[in-house]
Amino acid sequence: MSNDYEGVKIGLEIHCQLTALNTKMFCNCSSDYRGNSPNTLLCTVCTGLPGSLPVLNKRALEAAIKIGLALNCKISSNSNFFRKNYFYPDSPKNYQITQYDKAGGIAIANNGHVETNLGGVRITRIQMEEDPGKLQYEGSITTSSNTLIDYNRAGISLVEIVTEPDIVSPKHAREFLNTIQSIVETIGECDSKLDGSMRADANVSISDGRRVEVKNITSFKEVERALNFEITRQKTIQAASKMETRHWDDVRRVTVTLRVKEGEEGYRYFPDPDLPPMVISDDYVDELRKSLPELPEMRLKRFTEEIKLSEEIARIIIRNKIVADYFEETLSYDFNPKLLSGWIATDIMGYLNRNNIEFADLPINAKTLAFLSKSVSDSKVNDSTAKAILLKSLSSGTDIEDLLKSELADSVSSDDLPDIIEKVISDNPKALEDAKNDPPAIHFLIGQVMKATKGRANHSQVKELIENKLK
Amino acid sequence: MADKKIIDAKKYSELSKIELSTQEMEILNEQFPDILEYFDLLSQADTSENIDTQTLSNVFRDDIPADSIADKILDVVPEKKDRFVKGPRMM
Amino acid sequence: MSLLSSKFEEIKEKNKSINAYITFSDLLENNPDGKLSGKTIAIKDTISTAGLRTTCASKMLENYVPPFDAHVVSLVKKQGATILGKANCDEFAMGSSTEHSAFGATHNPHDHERVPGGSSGGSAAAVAGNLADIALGSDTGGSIRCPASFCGIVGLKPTYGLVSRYGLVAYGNSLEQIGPMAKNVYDCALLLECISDYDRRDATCVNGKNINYTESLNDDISGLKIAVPREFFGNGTDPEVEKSVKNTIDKLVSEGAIVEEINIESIKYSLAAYYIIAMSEASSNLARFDGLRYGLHSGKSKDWNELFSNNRKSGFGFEVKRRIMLGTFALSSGYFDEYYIKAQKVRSLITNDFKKIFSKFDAIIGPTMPTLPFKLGEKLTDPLSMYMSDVDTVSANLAGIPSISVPCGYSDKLPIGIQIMSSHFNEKTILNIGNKIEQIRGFDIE
Repeated sequence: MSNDYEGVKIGLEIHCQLTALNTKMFCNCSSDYRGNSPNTLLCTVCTGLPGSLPVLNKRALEAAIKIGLALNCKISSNSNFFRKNYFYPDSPKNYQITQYDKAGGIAIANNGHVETNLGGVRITRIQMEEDPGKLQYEGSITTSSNTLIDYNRAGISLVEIVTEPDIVSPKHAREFLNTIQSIVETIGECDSKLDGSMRADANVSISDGRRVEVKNITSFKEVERALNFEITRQKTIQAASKMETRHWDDVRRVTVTLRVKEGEEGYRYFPDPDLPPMVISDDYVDELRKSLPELPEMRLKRFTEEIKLSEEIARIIIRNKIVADYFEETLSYDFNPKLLSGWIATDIMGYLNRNNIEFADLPINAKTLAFLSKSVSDSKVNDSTAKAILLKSLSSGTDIEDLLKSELADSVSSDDLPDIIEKVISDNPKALEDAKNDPPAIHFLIGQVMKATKGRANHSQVKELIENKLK
Repeated sequence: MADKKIIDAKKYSELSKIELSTQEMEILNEQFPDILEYFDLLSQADTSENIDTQTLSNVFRDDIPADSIADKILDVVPEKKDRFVKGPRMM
Repeated sequence: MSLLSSKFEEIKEKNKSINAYITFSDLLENNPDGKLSGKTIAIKDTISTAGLRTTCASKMLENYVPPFDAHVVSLVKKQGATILGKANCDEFAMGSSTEHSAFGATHNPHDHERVPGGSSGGSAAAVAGNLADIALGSDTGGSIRCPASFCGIVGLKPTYGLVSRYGLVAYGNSLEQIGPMAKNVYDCALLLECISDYDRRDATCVNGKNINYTESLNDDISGLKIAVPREFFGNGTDPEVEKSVKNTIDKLVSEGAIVEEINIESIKYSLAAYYIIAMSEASSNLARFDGLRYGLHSGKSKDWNELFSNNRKSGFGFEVKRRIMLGTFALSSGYFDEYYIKAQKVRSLITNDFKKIFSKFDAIIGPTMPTLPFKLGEKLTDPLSMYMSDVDTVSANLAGIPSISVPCGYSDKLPIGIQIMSSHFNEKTILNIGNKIEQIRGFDIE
């Protein structure tokens, strides 16, 4: 298959809300806006009333530094806020308080990197900024005669994660986003399950073509589709000739021109005189570093080096904290990592993905899964039987314990085996002779025993017993 | 000094979202070059030495919610619909 | 009718010829407690007062009633002052004559055909014209000191960060401070004492720097070292102004002050640096006025772009438009380094020069304004000549240092003000010297 993604360079700008904070970034309004009636969480600051002034939420700085550390960035010892000046109805001051990387602007963190299954990605910078309000339309954006504005979200704390154009394919982008999700979730600073808590814009270019920004990618599931469309579009016109911003329409599944990209000159960035700079000591950074929980990358290392999982399986498991936690919980009941990791990474995840079910909604709890694996460890059933039980439980919803019980009732106990083997040998006298002379021929006998027990016998036990007969 | 600088009043009126009348644009286009010429005086200043005059830093507030005054804020909004601020069409 | 209300009616009547006030309070509060009890106060209309219209002298906010008090307003209320109303000013504090107001110009009480100075001209005229005991103004490039000088009263611009800006409608937010205006230095010091309480809602406000400013007013000034920069007596300085100021300085020498003439090279760049920075900040600070959340809403329009442009076209006066355009220009790419960045570097230069001077001197003295109050309309056609009148005041804003203007003489009955500056948070010294000048100048203010 030819490489459809040759020359493709993708950079992402991910906006993460700092969902663990109680208040907005620059004012004391509650940040718990979801589900509220419009315009209920407001003050002079987040609505930009004349005479209002911003004051930085200390927890926001803390969260941003932690995210920076978790993405292996260098934390700046001095950092400041800039104004990005542009007019838009969702922006109460018609400027956004953000961070900048030129003209004396210093973002909170720089030069990080993140590993993924499909390759590493460099993090250019992480900057703190405020969310604008929300626009709603009566109908669609083009037909609505009014725009309805809700400022509840205005001023919510955001961290923007900007990557180098190291991403080489839409799949890679998806993988990267999942990794970021897993990291920020692990450190507890962004709950990506909350609607709108993580948004991404993409910058796509092909070889020497110009960079095109794709906005309005509403969910990570849409990312691959949007990027695939844009790449195909650019390849068709043989690389973009001008820098522009395009809007992803997830209904028609196309990107459409929004505007020729506003150069940075349009934004007239300058330092915000209302906010003194931040001086961040090494001690403070160290204190925050120590407070971080085990990051997914560390967990991966532990899974591969200590628990000896394969990297591929391990990466699948660490991708979501909930999955990794589940896995470790199963291990606490029955330490059978190879079996459990295989079931989780392949069978369970496969089933959930195919049926669009969230891991959190998995009806089989860790203890039960471990119970099933224990029955294999204790040689009560063999792996393929156990796997069949698992799959049956997933698809039918029947309890694993019940399935296991009925299985064991039907199963062949080791006590029955010698008799069954005797019978098979007496039915196949020549086979025993063959096996004595030609060891691989034992498999015929084993096969007969398995057939007789309808596959329920423990394979290795059978083999052992027959081998004893050969002596 | 080089030729008098020209500011494109139209461009900046668009950037700052202030519609100007033709007359206003003419007056500004006429006045700007002299003002800019005066500003250009700065180019004579020797600012090669790096001077840091920043005094205040690390001013924060605690992450403790205060009561919202949303209703008071909505009182001054000129056009509303239910609890939304009513804005014009986007396109 | 109580004494206060009859006086109030008188004031409203007198205001018709001076136009110092835009809005009068509905209800007068007479509070027996507090340092300002019994004192009437006018508040510049760029300072937010809850429930009382705050227009910033602009059509844009003609009907805007803030839902909150500025920090300084809650403080003066707490200290028992009676707020009479909102004082006229140049629109959004942009001007030096209070002629750029959507509510008409204010007239100088000493000569109704002349300007009161600006942008806090209404505040100064109210005090000078006996329409208020004291007043609050704001000073971005001289807007308290200039009208104080032109109206023959005392006006003080505090150190940047001493007084909370929470509630002050921002114009040049790295430059401005709210400050006291009064007939004498004592009342000025008292008002400063009341408004300089720390406010955590302003991140640029510095904690722990305010003191009792009335305490050391009468300290002896002998031995104080005072610098007089030659640059403050530049070409455009009226000989009468120069004479009056220099006479006053001589009197200070008789009182034991040690005076020395110096040069501050960087001052000649201060005006250009000030305007670039102020206009740049203004272009951003005034972007919020689009009519959606408050202020002038001009009705239907084809889309948001048109609505914003229309509202701002109708809401802003020409001077404001001019400054926003220039500020937008100075911040835009291609010009940002040459103008904004350069201006900030010059600012650091000036700040540093002042720092060096204050390591050797206790204060700097010069005229507040280069000229006597000019006639209404005189400088309106040439914006640059209007900007030039700030030449002696802007450097204090750039450096963030405190500065006071005290009446030191008259020429043809027109007031002349002398300006005293000192190092950061050294209001004590400038009040002390100002107080001494009041004692030795040889005349009283009625």
